Amino acid sequence: MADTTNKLNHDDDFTLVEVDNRITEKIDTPKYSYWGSVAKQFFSNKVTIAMLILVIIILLMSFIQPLFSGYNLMDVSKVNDFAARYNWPNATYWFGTDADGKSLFDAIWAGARTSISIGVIATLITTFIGVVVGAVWGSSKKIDRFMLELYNIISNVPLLLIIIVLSYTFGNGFWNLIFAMTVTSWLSTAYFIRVQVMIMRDREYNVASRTLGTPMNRLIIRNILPYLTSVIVTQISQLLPSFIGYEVFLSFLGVGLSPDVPSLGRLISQYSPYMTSYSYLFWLPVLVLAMITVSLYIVGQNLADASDPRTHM
Amino acid sequence: MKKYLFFRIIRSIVSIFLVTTLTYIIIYSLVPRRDVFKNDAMVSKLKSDPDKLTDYMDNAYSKMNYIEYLDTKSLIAKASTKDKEVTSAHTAENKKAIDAWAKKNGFKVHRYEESKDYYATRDLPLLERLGRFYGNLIEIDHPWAVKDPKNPNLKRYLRFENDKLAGFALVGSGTKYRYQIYFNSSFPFIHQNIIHINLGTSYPTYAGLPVSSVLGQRQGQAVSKEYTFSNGQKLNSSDNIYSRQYQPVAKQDDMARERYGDYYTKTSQNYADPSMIGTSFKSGMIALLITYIISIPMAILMARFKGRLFDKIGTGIVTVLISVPSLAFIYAFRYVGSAAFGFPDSFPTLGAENINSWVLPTFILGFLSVSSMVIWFRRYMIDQQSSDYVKFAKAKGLDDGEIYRKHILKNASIPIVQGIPGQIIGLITGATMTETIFAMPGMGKMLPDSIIAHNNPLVISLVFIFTTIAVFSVLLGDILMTLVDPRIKLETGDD
Repeated sequence: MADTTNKLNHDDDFTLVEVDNRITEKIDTPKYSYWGSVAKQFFSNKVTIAMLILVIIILLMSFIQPLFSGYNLMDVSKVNDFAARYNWPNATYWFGTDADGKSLFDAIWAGARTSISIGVIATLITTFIGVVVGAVWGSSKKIDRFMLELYNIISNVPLLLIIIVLSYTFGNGFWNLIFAMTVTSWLSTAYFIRVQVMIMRDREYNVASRTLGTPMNRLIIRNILPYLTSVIVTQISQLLPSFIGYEVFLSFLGVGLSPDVPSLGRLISQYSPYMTSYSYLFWLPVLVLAMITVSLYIVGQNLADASDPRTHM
Repeated sequence: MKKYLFFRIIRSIVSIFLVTTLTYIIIYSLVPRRDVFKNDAMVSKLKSDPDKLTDYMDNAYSKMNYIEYLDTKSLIAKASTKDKEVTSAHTAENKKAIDAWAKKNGFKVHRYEESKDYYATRDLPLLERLGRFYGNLIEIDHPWAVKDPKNPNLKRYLRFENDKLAGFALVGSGTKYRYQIYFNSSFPFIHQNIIHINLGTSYPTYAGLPVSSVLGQRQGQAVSKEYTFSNGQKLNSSDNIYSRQYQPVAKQDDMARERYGDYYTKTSQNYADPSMIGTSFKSGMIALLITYIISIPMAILMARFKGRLFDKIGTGIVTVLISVPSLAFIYAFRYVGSAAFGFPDSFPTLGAENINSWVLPTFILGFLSVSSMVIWFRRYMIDQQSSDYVKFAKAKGLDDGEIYRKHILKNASIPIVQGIPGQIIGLITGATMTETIFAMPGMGKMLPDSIIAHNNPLVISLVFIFTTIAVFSVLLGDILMTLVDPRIKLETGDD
């Protein structure tokens, strides 16, 4: 027999919960932001941070110090002041002075500014043209035919040879040198991007996207190029030191820049006779040059590693 | 395969042709031609004598194929006809005859500043110069090559004989060179004089010499050797008897004529040191070996002990080396080599005959490409280590050493071969730097030198030579690759 009188009231134990439609729509996954992960990954390496600090110091020094020092390569006002000549590094002249009594410290930063500027501008131009052309190249069969022949012809010739000959024909000068450096070197970047685009182009998600009617240029810009960020950063980190190296070697030969522009290569060639007698004059520019390219390369490589989403797990 | 190779070689030649032509065009159209005289001492010397200066400069231009130049004497000779003799007198009649001739042949008549004599020039269009460059590029010797009006009875033949000077040789008469094919003890033992490459005339450095002999002729001090000449005379001579060329009768020297017993008395000299090409070639080949000998064991060890101390140290060193500019790299190693090991830091200090002077430039040239080679080869070895066949071999119970020796290394020989062309191209770049810094008399040093001296013919020739080496080393690398790995088919792998 059912006990209806002793009916327990359980209503207090439960409360009615209203259904919240907004919460059910939310998918609970860990938050992922691409650039946030890149930064986290990038700054997790101590060597990278040290190198980044070095890069920043070098950049600040070479772009701010020359503004105050007013260094001029052609200045020979102290040439007759014997006390100013060949001072070894000391408190007033941190890196010593040369035969004309000019401070090597000023010379190095003025030279570094030129060398870094050339490297950065040439790298930016090469990468920009290379990526744009490479993307188009990878997506069109007609262009591919022509470009492949062009690439086969140019890529066989050593780049230094092209740069030397071109900077000779165009004459000395900052922009002439940059033109000589970039006029063919974008081809190898473009070829690299072309291969990557071709690999990505036929992946399932892109085939699906194309079937749904995405035009090719949108496909490349939205679907493929974001994947290539780390590849492009790797390219940049390799191009930058090599362009600085080429500039230095050309100035060393006396081919690239006009005679009134200071550059690390010019300093090295100018001071190479002092290698044993006043060794600081030769070795300090070499050391600064090595520091610039090594730190830029390592920062670039680690940035490339960090920008690869596969390292974010 | 044969068809593919044929087209591939044609494409390589087209590629060399295009690069050289482009270089030719941009150099000759963009570099101001007056620049040639920038460092020329003769120009300032002749400043006081404008006639001679004009003559000197126009002669130089004509040597470099910029213009065709006729001085007064040859202009008059050209303008004279059978029935009308033109003289150097400044008469209206002579002027008319000269002008008429010049107009007909496209020349422009000028007058020297002081003597007011006539001379004529004609600007050679770029295409014509290019045509001349390629037209004269390959010279083939034949028994009708010599045309000497003063020597109409010159015999014309080609035959094998036992020559008193050169031993068994294919001897020619009427040819430009006496010995067409000859044998001697120097590498490669069989030599020929039939085909010669003519790359133009060098100017202003090595003025007047053919570019091919600037680059290809031995250098240094003359060496003499005792020869028994065909008239029985025993003499110490530095003549390179194998290079005997026809000497026109007008220029014949009786002594030499008697000594050799024929008209072929023009010889080059024997020198002690290897030629520019030879110097670069020797040091480049050894450097290539050094690169491989160092980088392959290093990469193998790094891959084998991946993630351990050796690998970490190695990666650190390689990263630094790859990012240091070559210039700093070369100077640093040069300093270490001369301070710690006592090798000369400049090539000419001890000269080419002393092996010590070769050590540093060659080793450094080899070191330059070690770092990129190690990175690449280590990556490849690591990829191989994690491949399925290695896992399978491990599962079957083979030990690591055996897997490495028998399986991984065999597969790894593919990229070793694949890398050779890239290494050779790298060597050209590297040699430009090392040879310049060590003042080593090779082709690499010649490139910056000739650019600074505005020696355009030499620049173009070097571009031509370097491009040829690079293009054919890529071709050779591909062929070698198919030999090492039969799975690779060039026909399909190309596009």
